[in-house]
Amino acid sequence: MINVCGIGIVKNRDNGEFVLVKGVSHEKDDVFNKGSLKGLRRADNFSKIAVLAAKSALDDSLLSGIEKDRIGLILVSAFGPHITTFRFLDDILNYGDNQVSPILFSNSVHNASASYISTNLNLQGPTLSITHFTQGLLQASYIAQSWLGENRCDYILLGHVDQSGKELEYILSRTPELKPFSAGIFMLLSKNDTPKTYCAISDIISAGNIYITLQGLIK
Amino acid sequence: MPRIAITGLGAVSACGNNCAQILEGFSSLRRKAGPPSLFESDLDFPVFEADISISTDGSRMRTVELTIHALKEAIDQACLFDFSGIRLGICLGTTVASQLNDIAFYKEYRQKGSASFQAVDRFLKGNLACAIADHFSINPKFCITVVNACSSGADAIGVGLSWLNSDLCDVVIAGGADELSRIPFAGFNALGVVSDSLCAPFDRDRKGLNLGEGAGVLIMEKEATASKRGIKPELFINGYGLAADAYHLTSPHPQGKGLKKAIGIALNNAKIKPEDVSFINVHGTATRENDKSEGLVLKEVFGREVKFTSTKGFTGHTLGAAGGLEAIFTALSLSCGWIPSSVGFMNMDPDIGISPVSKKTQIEGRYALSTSLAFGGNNSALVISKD
Repeated sequence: MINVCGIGIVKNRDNGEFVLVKGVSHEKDDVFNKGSLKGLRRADNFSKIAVLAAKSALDDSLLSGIEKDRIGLILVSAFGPHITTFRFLDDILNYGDNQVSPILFSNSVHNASASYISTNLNLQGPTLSITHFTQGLLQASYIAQSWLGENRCDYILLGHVDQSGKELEYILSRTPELKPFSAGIFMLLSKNDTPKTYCAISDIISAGNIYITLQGLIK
Repeated sequence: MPRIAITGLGAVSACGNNCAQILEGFSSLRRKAGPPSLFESDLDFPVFEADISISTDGSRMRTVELTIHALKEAIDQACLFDFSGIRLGICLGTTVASQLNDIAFYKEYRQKGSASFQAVDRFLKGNLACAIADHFSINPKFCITVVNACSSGADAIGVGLSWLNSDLCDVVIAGGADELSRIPFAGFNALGVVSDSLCAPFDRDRKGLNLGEGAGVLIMEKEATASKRGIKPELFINGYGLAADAYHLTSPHPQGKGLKKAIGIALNNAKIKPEDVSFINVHGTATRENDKSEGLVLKEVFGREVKFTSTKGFTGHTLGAAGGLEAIFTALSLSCGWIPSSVGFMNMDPDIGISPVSKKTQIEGRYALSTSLAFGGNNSALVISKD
């Protein structure tokens, strides 16, 4: 059994504002404020969403004194920081290959957000970024299960981050089953007893290419 | 834990189109680099392009084509032509193939507000692990693409090892691939880490990396599964370590904190000591920071006499392919009993204090290590052995 012992969500409201949800109910406005963005001055919005959601899940767990090299991180994204990638392409088209921004390039790399999380939260355990268009979080759950079983870490921050933008909306305009959204959701997973437990993942089932469910048992 | 065998190896890079050609290239010190021909750029730096003709109508990414090429070699070597009834996992690493970065598409979209969907379709069909499953008409139990930047290939192998150790799979296709692209070419130049001459890993006067492309794919399976198929494996994956620096987005930790930890985990995982390691195929990009931090860790953990080589002088830095290719080069070296010269190296850097091998060098011993450091502070280490 794997306990879900912390949840953090950053989501986009219809008016474009981002809100932070710690746990399952507490909603906080003005998520991108000066205090919360410390250490993220050069980060793009994709990485800001990722860091704030991951930190929120960790805070929500009420755990203290965890050894930071015993926390693993698995970050899933279908499309990665594509808005930043297109801004980097703007640089190439506007100024040429020799005049592009190193910061835009750095932020456009798929695992930049995982790096911002590990650096800002000082997480020194195994860190993995993966991509899959439809089943990333479920595929990642198996990796989390394996890592905990192999004792690679005691806790895993498992999250999914994606971002909507006008280019992606155009790209997905012919595939209605893929809906772009802007949000980050993280769960803190552990096999240990924890102060707070939302549910336990009792089984993860795959049937061919169809991954059925994360079965939760409310404690 | 079951013993995890490597039963198939497949590789393509600028140094050769298969494992045999690459070994011959290592022996003859082949460094096939030149200006980029796959894209236009106003930058003038050498790159290492793979010399394979890709019969494509533009419907597939070059990264996918490179992977298919390498995987065919690995499948042939593993004699694994029928995947039915096998719990299969596919885990492949990449960087370029994970991004919506088609300049022609974006230029047209920017001008008109709409654009041809050919590049979009290529991207949406190009999630590397899924594209490989589709091409070979196989239905894996697990199928995921790792995007851990320059350690992606090594980490994909590590994920495969975890699946096998956890009895989730019987066989795993793992490794990494990347094509040369104008985007990282411009981006790495902006970061100030590209050399205008051929790279010289660990050399005192090194000036930076050269980009390359390729694919390195392994077939991994439990020894018992291989035995049932009548295969007697020679090579094994014994351990994997992964640790974050938690230090900086683009620079490695100066003392290699995360790398040291990753190596320790991998050795512990394999139940061996540093003195059991006969050689190390290092990440060795030839940037000032990478080589210094990696060299300091090697000296501390393995001592001044450690035998190590960087093969990036033959392949360039192949980004998401590097970890897969270099795991294969490590396995081939164990199998052949020699490691290639760390080509490009001339003089020891006093700030590092140890030198890679500067000629083809015989090795003895059962275990070897392959290290990968990545953008974002990721550090990976794989222990590979020969029976």
